[in-house]
Amino acid sequence: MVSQLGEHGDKALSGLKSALQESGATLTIRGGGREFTIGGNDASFEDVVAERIESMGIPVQRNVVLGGGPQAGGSSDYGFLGEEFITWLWFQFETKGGDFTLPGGRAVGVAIDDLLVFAAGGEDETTQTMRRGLPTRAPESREALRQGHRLAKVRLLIAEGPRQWTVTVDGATMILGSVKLPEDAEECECAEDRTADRAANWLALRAIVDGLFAKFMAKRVASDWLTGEAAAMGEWMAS
Amino acid sequence: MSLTLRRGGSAVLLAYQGKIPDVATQPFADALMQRRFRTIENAASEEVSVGWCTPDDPTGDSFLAEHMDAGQATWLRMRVDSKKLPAEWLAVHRAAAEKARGRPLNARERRELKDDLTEKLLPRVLPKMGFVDALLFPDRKQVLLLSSSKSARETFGKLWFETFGVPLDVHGPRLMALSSVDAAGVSVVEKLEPTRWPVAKGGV
Repeated sequence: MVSQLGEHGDKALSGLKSALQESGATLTIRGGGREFTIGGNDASFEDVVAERIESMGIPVQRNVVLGGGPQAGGSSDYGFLGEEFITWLWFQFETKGGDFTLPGGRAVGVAIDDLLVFAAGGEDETTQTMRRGLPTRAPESREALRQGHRLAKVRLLIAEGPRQWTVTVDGATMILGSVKLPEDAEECECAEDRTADRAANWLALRAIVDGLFAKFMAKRVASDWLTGEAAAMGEWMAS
Repeated sequence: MSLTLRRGGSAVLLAYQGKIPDVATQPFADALMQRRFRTIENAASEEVSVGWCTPDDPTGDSFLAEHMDAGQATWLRMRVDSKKLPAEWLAVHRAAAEKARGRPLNARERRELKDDLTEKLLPRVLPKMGFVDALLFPDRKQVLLLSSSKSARETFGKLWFETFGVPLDVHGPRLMALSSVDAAGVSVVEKLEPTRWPVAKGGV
């Protein structure tokens, strides 16, 4: 096949081969209804491969996507933001206790419950599920982050005053799963009352999640995200 | 089937743009009535029926506002019935036919057998019933669908669009991000890339 590509093609493939070997990167090329994946997995692909090819005087076509890179968690629909959000909640819980004041002076407490699911860093890697007990205390959990696994799902305990919810948040979609609403209010005397109370609790849960996400986004869009909060999270992951 | 909204399960937030009729008015009930659930109890073919009903009236005959009242929300209920020839019955009849003839049925005979059984048995088969609940918050232009299944979401989205003429979008991370920043922040959000954690990346 190489011989059919001409001189530039040969040089490009040769450069790619050595750069992929050097970086351990994954290169996925999509087009014409097909997809090819080459190499291992490392987010340093762009730094190594693109520079290598460009240094050979060959223009780099940028319609490539990386396994474990920007597409991880679904960048097209910003799934990575949801995954970073639940990782940030874990960080906040461990380093600051998980107390938040949301818009309107709403005070809520968030704790990580008994489920952490780590997505694979690349397509061939294993998904890790930490269930029962205190998964945040398990050494494997922090190690998973250090190894580049993304936090895909987390089970949260959310409390506001006497009300308490448990919910599993899927980071990439922000779908709320396995929700348990607070107990029905004592003053509920009939089915209509209970329905109205539960609808209010569903709405409150969604409002709390939205409020927490907005707090995260305020940090995330700040110009000092990488040097501030992200750096602190990186240190926490390493600790 | 419960007359009380459930206390748990999964939920996905959907959002819409545009206008739908006021939930307290007759046009809203009329819109639901146009796409009401229609029974397939006596149908003699395999089919699926999707339509609106209310928690109080699963037949889809009436849409009284008080039956959909859930305090801050309007409680919508989608009913999905499906009728299918049970595969076990087909297998039993096929085995009997093959035994009687002393040889396996060919493709044409299998098709004829299925058509024959469908005609005879389907009117006697009860449809499988399914209900999907949703809470409509018109002031927020949001619908909380109390199911996370993709098929339920797609079916609900289609029924909603057929009813109100406005599409529903999943309020996922992107919409959440865009709605949590001011106008100046929108362009920042659009350019966001996944974080490469400074310390973790180096391999601690």
